[in-house]
Amino acid sequence: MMNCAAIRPRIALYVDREVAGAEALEFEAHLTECERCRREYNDLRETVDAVRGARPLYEVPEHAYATVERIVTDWERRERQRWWVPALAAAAVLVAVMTGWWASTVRSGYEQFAAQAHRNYAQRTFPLDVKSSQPQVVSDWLEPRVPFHLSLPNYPEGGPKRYTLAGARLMQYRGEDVAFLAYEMDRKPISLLISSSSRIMPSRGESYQSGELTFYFSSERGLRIITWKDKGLTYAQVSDLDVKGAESCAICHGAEGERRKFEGLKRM
Amino acid sequence: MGCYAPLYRYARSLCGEPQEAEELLQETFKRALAAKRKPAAANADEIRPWIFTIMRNVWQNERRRISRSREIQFEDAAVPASGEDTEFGMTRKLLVSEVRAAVDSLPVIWREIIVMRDMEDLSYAEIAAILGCPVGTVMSRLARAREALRQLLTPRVSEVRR
Repeated sequence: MMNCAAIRPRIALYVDREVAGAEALEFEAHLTECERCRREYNDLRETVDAVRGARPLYEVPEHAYATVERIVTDWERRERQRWWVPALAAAAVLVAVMTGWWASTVRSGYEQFAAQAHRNYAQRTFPLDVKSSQPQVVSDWLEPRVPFHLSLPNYPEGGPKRYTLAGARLMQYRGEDVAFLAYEMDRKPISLLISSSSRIMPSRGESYQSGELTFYFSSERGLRIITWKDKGLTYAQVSDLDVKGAESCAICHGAEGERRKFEGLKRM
Repeated sequence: MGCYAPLYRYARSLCGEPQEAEELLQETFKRALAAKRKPAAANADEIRPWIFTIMRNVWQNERRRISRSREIQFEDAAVPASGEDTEFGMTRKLLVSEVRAAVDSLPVIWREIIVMRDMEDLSYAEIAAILGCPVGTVMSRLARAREALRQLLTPRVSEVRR
């Protein structure tokens, strides 16, 4: 049982509903028996009731709600924008990464495709569609079959040929028709894959600049692959000739009249 | 949004003037919305002391601009003159306007605790969190504020009774 000394500090707690349960019951029991504590309680109770009876102490202006609502609405709009911008940026990064990955796949895929086509040709695992050493014959056969204009030059112009044209085959790379040209030099096969696909961007390996053209030199399982883009067409030349850089060009285009084509070849 | 009315009333207890209270209310909402850490919307028990605390911090930071001339520190607070200290027996007949005038005349440090406890029903623990003090300090400050109110209101009660 609580005595007065224990009850009085708790009067405010009781008035403010900060005590409950058994403690509240014990408090009430004491008040019924102790007039002095009851009077103290009643005094405080009256003060508090009078103050609480004056609620609301301050009237809230009608426009206060509208003002706060506008602040919240503005914040919500900015928040949506704040989240959209990073989300869009993240999406843009994702698209860029995916595009880069996709382009990389396309790039490496083209070179790998050219290398595999070369192996198949070298191993005679598939026949050429047209067999001829005459550029005009091969051009005439390919021209109506590929989605680009093709007119094979008769390299080297006017001089002795170091290589000979063997023929061509129509192939498909990622759903598009591409031209596979087969050459031979010293009984070794050399191939040239030509595509008009805009999705193919050569970039694999070391790059060399010659005029407006950029050549990329790479190797794969003993094969030398040179890729470049010129006038909307992507070329991939494959051979197993053990040469590097500009020497690769000189093999086919080493005649006096053609050397100027790659003399300015500089590594980037 | 639901707490804007209690917040406005608390702002009035701090600022006194309606215009200043509105400015404080707006600034409080701006700060609250910009806060990096916010209580969950569903947790009303956390939201109320949280946003009251923001309001008090804003007010404290800008008190020089919005302070009232009669604002004084708690330690120096004195009970406003109440006239004759007769036996206190307040009735419901007491004019609400008299209560308002009495609360308004309190030092801000007592006025705000009266508003938080008796007007907005904040618990001792919530008030302690808002004021950044122990619950015991809340109790003693509240007791002093109520005693001041009692002294201010007693003469008027006597008049009402007559």
